[in-house]
Amino acid sequence: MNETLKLGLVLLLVCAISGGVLAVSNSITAPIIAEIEKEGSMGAFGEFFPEADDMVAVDEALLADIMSNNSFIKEIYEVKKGEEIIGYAFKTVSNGYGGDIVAVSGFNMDGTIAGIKVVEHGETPNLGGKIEEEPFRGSFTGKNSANELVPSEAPSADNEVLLISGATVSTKGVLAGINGAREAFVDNFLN
Amino acid sequence: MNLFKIFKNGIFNENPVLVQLVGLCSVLAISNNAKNSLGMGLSVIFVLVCSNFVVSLIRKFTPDKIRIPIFIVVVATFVTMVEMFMKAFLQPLYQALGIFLPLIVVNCIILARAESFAYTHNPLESIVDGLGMGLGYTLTITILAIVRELIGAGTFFGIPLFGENFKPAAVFVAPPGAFILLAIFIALFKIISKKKATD
Amino acid sequence: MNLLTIIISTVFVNNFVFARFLGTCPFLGVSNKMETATGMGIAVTFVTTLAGIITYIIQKYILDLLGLGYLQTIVFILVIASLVQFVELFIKKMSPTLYNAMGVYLPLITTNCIVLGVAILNIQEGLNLIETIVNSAGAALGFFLALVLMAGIREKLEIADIPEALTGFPIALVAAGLMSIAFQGFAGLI
Repeated sequence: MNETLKLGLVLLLVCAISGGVLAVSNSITAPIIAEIEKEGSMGAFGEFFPEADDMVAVDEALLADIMSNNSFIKEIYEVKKGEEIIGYAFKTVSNGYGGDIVAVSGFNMDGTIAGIKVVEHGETPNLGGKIEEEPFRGSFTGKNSANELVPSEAPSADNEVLLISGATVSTKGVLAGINGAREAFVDNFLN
Repeated sequence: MNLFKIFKNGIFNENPVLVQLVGLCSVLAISNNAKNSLGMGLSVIFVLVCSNFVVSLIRKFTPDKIRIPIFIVVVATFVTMVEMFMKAFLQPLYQALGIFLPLIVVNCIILARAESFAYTHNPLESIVDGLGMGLGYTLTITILAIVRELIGAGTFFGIPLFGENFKPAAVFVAPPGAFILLAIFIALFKIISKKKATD
Repeated sequence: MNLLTIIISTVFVNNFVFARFLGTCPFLGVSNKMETATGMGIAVTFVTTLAGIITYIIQKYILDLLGLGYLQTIVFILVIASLVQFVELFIKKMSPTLYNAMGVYLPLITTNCIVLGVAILNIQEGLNLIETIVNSAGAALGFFLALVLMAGIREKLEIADIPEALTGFPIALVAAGLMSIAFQGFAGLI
């Protein structure tokens, strides 16, 4: 019994030292991490709205109402410049070829798309994975949000975006989410 | 033991990945990107050197019966420190390494070195052993990643090399390519070391 | 998330061995005989599921409440290590038959990254308790499946004529690569 007690104490001591060391490093890094995380959530949207100085999540009741008939929407933000609302930002989740595709999109108050970005996905690298990159991303920017977006090998019309060859499912996966955001934007926020 | 010999041992004779065949999970997973591989390698070197040093330092006071839990606590402490500092100062790398960063704790290389080397050698030798083994790991994963990236994506540390018309063999950056290329690496290493032995 | 989707996803589409590379070491280490593969598979499934539940409870009711989230890695690995010890003692006492079947594999499980990996992923993905159980069991079953399939192939490989440098480990890796290609075929399933 005596030996067990001694072993227990030694182990406890080791754990206590390690806990102390970690508490110190946590106190150094925690504020920096919190800062970065705050910037990070702004960052994805910040690209779309360079003029914006604040983002506010929309009223929870409204969000719940929109989510109840739009399964893609996860988060909605009002993008503000001073007191004026200059656009809306959405976070959507849709199905791709290799699981969930998480995308963010921004819409200007004149009805055009400010930009989109795929932030998380499980698509095949270099095939479906191209949904992260140009020229796919850019093919959304500036398009009108009034009509449903459709994929095309050579997008030209105002509702056509690039179809990545060899990755139809991935392309359509992203489109489903963005179209969901677009619909919610047109129905609820665009006057 | 000669320090240089200990150092070289980790890189060649007992290369953790190619000869001892440990720590393969992270090697296979992270080696689709050369930059991340280098980051992973450096994290492993840091943890390995620190844990080897501490384990060796406290080896005289460590009761034999509970040495494994103590090793685990030591290793986990350093891994958590790497996690925190990387999250604070190297956010993109932190996100790219994802789950494999905390999993350094169960990377067999580190526990194996603590148990089979640091526990029986002095601190200086243990540090050198950690450096050698860590470097052996880093070199292997980085070279593997460079080859995978080159064939699978046509890039070198993210820089495109072959122009727009190059159609990369995407399977090499996908999981199957990792298994097959690592197999080729191990086989080549076997042939080379065998040749050396007969010379 | 639909529970069935979680199972299909973890066992086939995102198989932990072939798509996420977790548990590769024991996967290659003990897959040379069908018998050992089954024993290891059972032991891993058991421990992973149990560890998933316990770590979930610890995270939710101790670490989160005390704001000690940063101790996650160290606490989880200690929990898993002690759990493995405990399970070993328990089975040894309760059922010698079961101990004979999986006892020798238990000590190896602490360093199987599936156990710790799944425990952390459960928390990161914000699953609830039921989803945690299903996800942990699914991950382990995926590992089990991979292990048994691989053992079947490797028993055949033993008598095949292979270039000398590729014998043993390398050829097993090649086989794993080919199986990984096959498993990619499941990708469109969900």
